[in-house]
Amino acid sequence: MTVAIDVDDVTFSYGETPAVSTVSLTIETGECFGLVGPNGSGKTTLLKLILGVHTPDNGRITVFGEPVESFAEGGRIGYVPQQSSRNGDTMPITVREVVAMGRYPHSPFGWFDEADHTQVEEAIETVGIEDLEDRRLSRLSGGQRQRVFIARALASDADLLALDEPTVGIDATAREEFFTLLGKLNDGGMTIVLIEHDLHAVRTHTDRIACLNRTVHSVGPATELLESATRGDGKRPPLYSGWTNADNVFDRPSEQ
Amino acid sequence: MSGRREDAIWVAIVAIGISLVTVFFPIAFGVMPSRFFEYSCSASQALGSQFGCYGFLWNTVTTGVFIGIIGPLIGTFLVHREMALIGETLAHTAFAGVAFGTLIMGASGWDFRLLLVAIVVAVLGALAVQGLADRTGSYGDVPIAIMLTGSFAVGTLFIDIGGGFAFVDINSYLFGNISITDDRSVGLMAVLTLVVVLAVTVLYKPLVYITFDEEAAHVARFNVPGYNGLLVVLTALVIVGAMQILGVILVAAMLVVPVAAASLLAASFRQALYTSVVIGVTAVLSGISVSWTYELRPGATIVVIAIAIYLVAVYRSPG
Repeated sequence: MTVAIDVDDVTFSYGETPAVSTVSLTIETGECFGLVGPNGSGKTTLLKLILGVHTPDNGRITVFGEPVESFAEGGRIGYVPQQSSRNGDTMPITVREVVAMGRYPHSPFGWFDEADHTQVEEAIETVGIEDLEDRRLSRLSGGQRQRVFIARALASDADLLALDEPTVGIDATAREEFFTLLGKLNDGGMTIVLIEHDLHAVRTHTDRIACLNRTVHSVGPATELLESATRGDGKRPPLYSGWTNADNVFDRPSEQ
Repeated sequence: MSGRREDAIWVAIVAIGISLVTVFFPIAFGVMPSRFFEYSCSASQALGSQFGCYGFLWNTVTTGVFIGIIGPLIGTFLVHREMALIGETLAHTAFAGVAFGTLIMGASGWDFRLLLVAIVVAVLGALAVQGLADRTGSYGDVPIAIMLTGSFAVGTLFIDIGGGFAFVDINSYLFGNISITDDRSVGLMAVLTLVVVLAVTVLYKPLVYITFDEEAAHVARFNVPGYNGLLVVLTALVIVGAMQILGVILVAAMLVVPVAAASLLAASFRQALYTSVVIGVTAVLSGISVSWTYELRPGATIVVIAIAIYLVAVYRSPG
């Protein structure tokens, strides 16, 4: 196993407020890694640090062995951001156009060649959205949209897939299908970093998780950490104060 | 979008392209043979109008077509990021530039040299807007409002110092002017158009990516701040070019209204881009002829026609 991502003693603040503090963790190639923690625990911030959107105040991050700030192969990282951070709801853009963006890091100027088109085509087929390719993104359901973003990552030949709460606002069936797709990609060797609120999904679909609350509380296989957290008399250890399964129901922004 | 409408847009785009090469660029660069103007005069007289007999009207129409193309072209990349007011702000900055120009050069109406000063000041304003946005993390409406009103205030003071409103043709700065007589201004517009069309063609992919999702574009390792800066500078160029006909107050409409209409009608981004240009050129050309015929202000006429097209698009859109 080689190291895909290495986070070493990273601290980052928005102004005065520390968002993540002295975080260290290692994600191996081919792993499906979950980031869990209460709202405001710095999960999204940590993911953005890993992706190079933010620069750490302290500490260092390497991606595929290279410092993240000089990592230039944009095509290797597929990013599925939170639903709310995109303009696709109002902007006219088709499914095919979004998937094609996956080729942009490889071909930033000028026309696509035959290979680019083939790759876009194949990515669309892999996630099963052929019948939607000329539809406007804003007319798709939440589950369909997330498939589009997975396809964009596939089109770019990504070997790291970063997803920020991808199943928010998606119904149970679509959610199951979505995780089946992720599982298949993971089996094919894709490294996955996933922020997920649904603890059941985390337990079933990830290899290891990091419990985060500004700093890393514990790292290990999801089954172990989550079992120990709810074991015995049903009392929750302090880690989970303010973070219950009820968060899933009440604390989520309601979508659609 | 239905296939028939798509075809119609495509035909219109090709027609605009052909007329650019055969008519508007030759006029703008002053290489159109005079026979063309004689023919256009007799042709319009045959239709019972003097429209084709005035050389300056050809300058106006040519400038108008350029505006109708590059306004929506740049506007498309602003509107979908909720940066519509950037255009309005830069127009006011450019007004400060125009006012400064009247101060140092003693110009009293639209003038080629005045445009150059306006371009420089608007580009500086654009960089200031971008600097504010980078510092505050967004194109927030408070810094935008301060920039907009502030530069208008400064411009007004410049004009006062330079001799006051009796001296300069403030009307045509604020509301636009249909009689563009300065040949060099038209040439400048042609150059601006070439620059903007070339930039959007070459940088289409990064611009689309950033417009759609700035953060994902960053993750894909596109130079987001660089492209943002470039987009704002291009916007400043378009605004100054369009100000002559539309005026400071209404110029931003050309960047916003055709784009809003097109995004209701088109499914794909590319198609929306083409559609907005067709709507822009249509609004400008019909606006110029209506304002000439009924002696109305060109800027206001163009904007009202563009909004009428937008309302039709609202009615026709699938909802």
